[in-house]
Amino acid sequence: MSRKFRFKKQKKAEDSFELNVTPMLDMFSVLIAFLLLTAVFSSTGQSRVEVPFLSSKPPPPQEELDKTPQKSITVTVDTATVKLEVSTTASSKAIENKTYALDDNGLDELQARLYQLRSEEPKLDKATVMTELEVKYENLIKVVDAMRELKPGRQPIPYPEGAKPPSGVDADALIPKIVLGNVIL
Amino acid sequence: MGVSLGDGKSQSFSLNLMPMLDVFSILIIFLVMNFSTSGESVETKINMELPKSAVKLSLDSAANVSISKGEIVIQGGQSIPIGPDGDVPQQFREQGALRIAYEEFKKVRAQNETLKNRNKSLGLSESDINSLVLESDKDVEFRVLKRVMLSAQQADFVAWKLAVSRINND
Repeated sequence: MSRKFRFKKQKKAEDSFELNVTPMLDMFSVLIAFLLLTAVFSSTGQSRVEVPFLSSKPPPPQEELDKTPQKSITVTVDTATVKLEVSTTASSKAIENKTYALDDNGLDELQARLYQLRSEEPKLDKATVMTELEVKYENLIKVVDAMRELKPGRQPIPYPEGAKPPSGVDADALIPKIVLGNVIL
Repeated sequence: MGVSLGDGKSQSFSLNLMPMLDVFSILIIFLVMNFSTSGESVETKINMELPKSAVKLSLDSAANVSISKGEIVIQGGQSIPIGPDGDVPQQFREQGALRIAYEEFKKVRAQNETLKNRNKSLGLSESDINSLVLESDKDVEFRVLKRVMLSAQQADFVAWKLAVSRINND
């Protein structure tokens, strides 16, 4: 009897055990403190733009421009609308002139049109933005975003062979080179 | 753990740490998933709110221009006030640009050139030397930005990294 009883008692003692979680808790506390102190909850990004500069280099002759006409894009931003103007070097007159509302739908339409233009001509990687003085910085960023950051569902347009986007611009950007035209004009 | 009740008997109790451990584990998983070591840490002023953008690139380091609703500060130096009309007062303007800003940009340009010549091993590219970071409040009008950009352009800074608050578009 005593042997059986001793065995049961021993078994009971072996069954009840506790995992010592205190070292684990210590480690977790240190890790949480470190992660909370180093966490960056709002991250800052960058959108690169350029400002035109005066060059002493003469422009190419008109005959040369007529031979290989190139399209150019100008986007004019005012407080309520965005105007897209497409022109060619062969003619001083704009070949396309369209105005969009400065809201989500309008900017989506602008991006759709720019996407179409760039798909037809992948070399068309530069646009000039003319901004009215009353336009708020937030709205300028919205327009730059629409011109550069592709909406989900639109595939990036491959950059032409031999060319590369400027540094500080995402390779998938729709219009990589954006010049704020009226800074000096 | 045991505790004496004074009558010679002792009562053992243990603190149940398991729920705490569960909470800690969830917190650690969350923090590790959101942890990022990349990107420039920018401390914006209290009265400045950066515009939101879907950009994917983190902010690089460069000389910094900060434009809040009330002032323009170039590289933490002299400040230029912005009046209640949302523009820089007349006495600071000169041919559309800002004289003080131009002088500050000249100093920054000289510092960049010295840095470039002194230590090429820093890996500063030509574009880093010619560019500036612009941190501006979302409500600032382009007329102020234009004055600052024109002043910088006259000091040969032709590229701007516009600081924005990134929104996750995934």
